[in-house]
Amino acid sequence: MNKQIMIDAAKCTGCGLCQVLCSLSKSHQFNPSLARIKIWREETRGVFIPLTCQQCVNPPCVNACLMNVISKDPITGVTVRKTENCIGCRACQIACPFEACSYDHLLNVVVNCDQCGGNPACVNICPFGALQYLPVNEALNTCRDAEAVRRANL
Amino acid sequence: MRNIVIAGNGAAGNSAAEAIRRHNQEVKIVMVAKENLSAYSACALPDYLSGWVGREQLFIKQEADYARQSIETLWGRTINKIDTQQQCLVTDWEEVKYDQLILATGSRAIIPPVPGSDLVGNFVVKTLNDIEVIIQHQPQQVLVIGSGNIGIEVAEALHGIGCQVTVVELMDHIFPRLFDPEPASLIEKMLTEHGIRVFTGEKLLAISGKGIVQEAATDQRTIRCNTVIWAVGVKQNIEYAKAAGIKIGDMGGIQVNNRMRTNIENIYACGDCVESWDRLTGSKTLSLLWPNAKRQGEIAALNCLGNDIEYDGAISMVVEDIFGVTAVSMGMTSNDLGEGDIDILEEQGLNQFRRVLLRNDQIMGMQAVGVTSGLGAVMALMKNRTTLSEFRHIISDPDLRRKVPWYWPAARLLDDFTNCRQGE
Amino acid sequence: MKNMLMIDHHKCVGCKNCEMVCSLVHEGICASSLSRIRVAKDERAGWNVPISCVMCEKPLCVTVCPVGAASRNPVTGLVTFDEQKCIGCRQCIQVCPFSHANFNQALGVAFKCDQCEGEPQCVKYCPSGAITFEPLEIALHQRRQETAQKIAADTLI
Ligand SMILES: Cc1cc2nc3c(=O)[nH]c(=O)nc-3n(C[C@H](O)[C@H](O)[C@H](O)COP(=O)(O)OP(=O)(O)OC[C@H]3O[C@@H](n4cnc5c(N)ncnc54)[C@H](O)[C@@H]3O)c2cc1C
Repeated sequence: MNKQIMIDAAKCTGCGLCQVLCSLSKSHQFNPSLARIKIWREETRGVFIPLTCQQCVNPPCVNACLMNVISKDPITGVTVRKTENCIGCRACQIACPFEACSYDHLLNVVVNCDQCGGNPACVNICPFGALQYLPVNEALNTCRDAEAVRRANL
Repeated sequence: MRNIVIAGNGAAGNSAAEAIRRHNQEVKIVMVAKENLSAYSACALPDYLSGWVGREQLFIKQEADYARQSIETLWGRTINKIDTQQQCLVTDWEEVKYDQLILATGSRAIIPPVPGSDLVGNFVVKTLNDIEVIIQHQPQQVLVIGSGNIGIEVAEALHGIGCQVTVVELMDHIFPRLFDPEPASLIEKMLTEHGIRVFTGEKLLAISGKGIVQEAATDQRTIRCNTVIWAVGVKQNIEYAKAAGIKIGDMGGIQVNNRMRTNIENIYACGDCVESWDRLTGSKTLSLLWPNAKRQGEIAALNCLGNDIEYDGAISMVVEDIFGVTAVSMGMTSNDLGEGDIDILEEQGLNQFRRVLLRNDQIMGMQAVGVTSGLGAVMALMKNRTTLSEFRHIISDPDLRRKVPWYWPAARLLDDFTNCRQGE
Repeated sequence: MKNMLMIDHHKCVGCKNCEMVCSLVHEGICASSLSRIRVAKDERAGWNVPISCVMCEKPLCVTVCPVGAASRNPVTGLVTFDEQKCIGCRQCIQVCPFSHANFNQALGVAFKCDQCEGEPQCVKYCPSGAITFEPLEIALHQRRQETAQKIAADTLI
């Protein structure tokens, strides 16, 4: 697993463009309910939290699946599904802490983010940088450097 | 070369085989099973019955997959005996030598000795073959005995293909092991509204007919039917193991330790045929669920390969689709916990219901009808044994709360209850 | 908690011996990316900052972990990750305020400082004494003395 969609909820304004683009690229419709990324909206608090697949290495959804259709792609490390065999039972949804399994009501199967094969539409469109597609360790290094600068300058 | 033999080609057996192959390419794996089919998911059988999925879709593995993973398959064999001295498995065809043996023979559905339960037209739902014979029988008026998840799923499936379906349940509410009476009655209402007749607190006394099922008598009424489906429970397939001296627990499953080892050296067991324990309470349980069978298979396999990995117990999680409305039960029910010392938080809306069961401030179970979002997060909190006070502490701190994104969906589910009942 | 890993980055020379020894004792190879302690450095600006776990009293990694793999021992105060339970979702890495929690790409699990069962090897092999492992009171006393000396020196001149 090299890159991950990193979420910085503090930057999310809840505009929903990510969902629109996701549904367009995956289901050819402008329809947020078909998106594989969700925005958890707490409008009264002004909080918007994008939620999407965290690409766990050993994901709970794999264990929960009653049809054994979910697996980790051995090369990309992305959590992939053989949707032909999915019966839409939603067990994976209940097993995922991150609300990352979406019910595709056109195909009656459950789906998750596949990072668009390495060029995620949601990240490309996000106007505020709340979503970033970065190698995990590189992102970590950047954060660590920032922390080091903070300490060095104290 | 080391030879690992796996008895059973279900969820547990295949999960074990795959875990072995993931970590070790060398050992020889032999799978032995009674059914002459590659692995399929029993959970989708009701969907196959209703026509929602095709026969092909049931299979979780093709014959070629076994070959690709160099797993030798011996299908169509019934295991009769284990010779623990010679380390070999005796089937009705041959003797299979093993260095290590993983038992995953699952369970079989039972038909109690009610008069008339041997007539043509009595069925169970456990294997693919069971479904095929039901379809051949052309059910019209169907009586489903038992309202666990299998009973209700089958009732819905048969209703969907035009049968007139009646469900009879001995206990006072449907889903007696999965839901509390209130959510169960809401589900019951949905079923009845769609035309499935449900009779709870009723005992089936006899089935009658001339060679073929025609009528069933309960303690309250007689019901005309040409088909009776038994969904009253299962029995573990362990007779051969018991005869070999493998310890069987009080509940009728193979006794295993937390490494999925039996009392006999080099023999492991996993899946429906074992007696495990509940992760939340530690009490003995026969889990009978697919995800638990998979996890147990994996643990047995890894320990078989010489690792030392602990199984942390079974957890119950069942999702039901009731005419398009999702009903979820996870963890324990009030009945499991014993009413006295639990707190109940609940909220009821139109065709919506959620209830959280707490003991000592810890989430022990949740039942939800018509709600799905946030349940995964609650499941995680439940497994983590996060107390409700800890959780509330975090969500009441705006800074902290923002840092743990997945708490938000849980917060919406665990907040704003109108009805809170405290235990004594 | 008895001893505390104290890092005085002013004393760090940026040799990264700590990274080498840490990854060697934990993973059997010398590899910065597998070291628990990491030294961030900016040679032009002239600083080296070793970063390791501060063993928070209320660790965010423990809160955010959805599978209970991260835990804090209430007696010793040690915050540890259980590799067997870890599902590799990297929430701890994203949430750690000090960017300490790290990820092992090969095994797919998060890892962090475990203070080497009470004998941190980074401390033992730090040539400049930038990392120490001592009771909080002693460390504080030391710092207080150093600060006092500095103030005294400044005001006396
Ligand atoms: C209709 C239905 C719906 C279900 N729905 C759900 C659901 O929604 N969610 C859920 O979690 N679970 C569900 N389950 C339960 C789930 O299917 C089981 O928990 C799971 O299949 C157990 O797997 P297993 O490998 O332990 O046993 P099984 O799948 O029963 O496999 C047993 C294997 O052993 C073989 N075998 C048995 N005896 C012998 C012998 N003497 N000799 C040789 N081979 C033998 C069999 O051929 C078979 O290959 C459902 C089950 C059914 C029947």
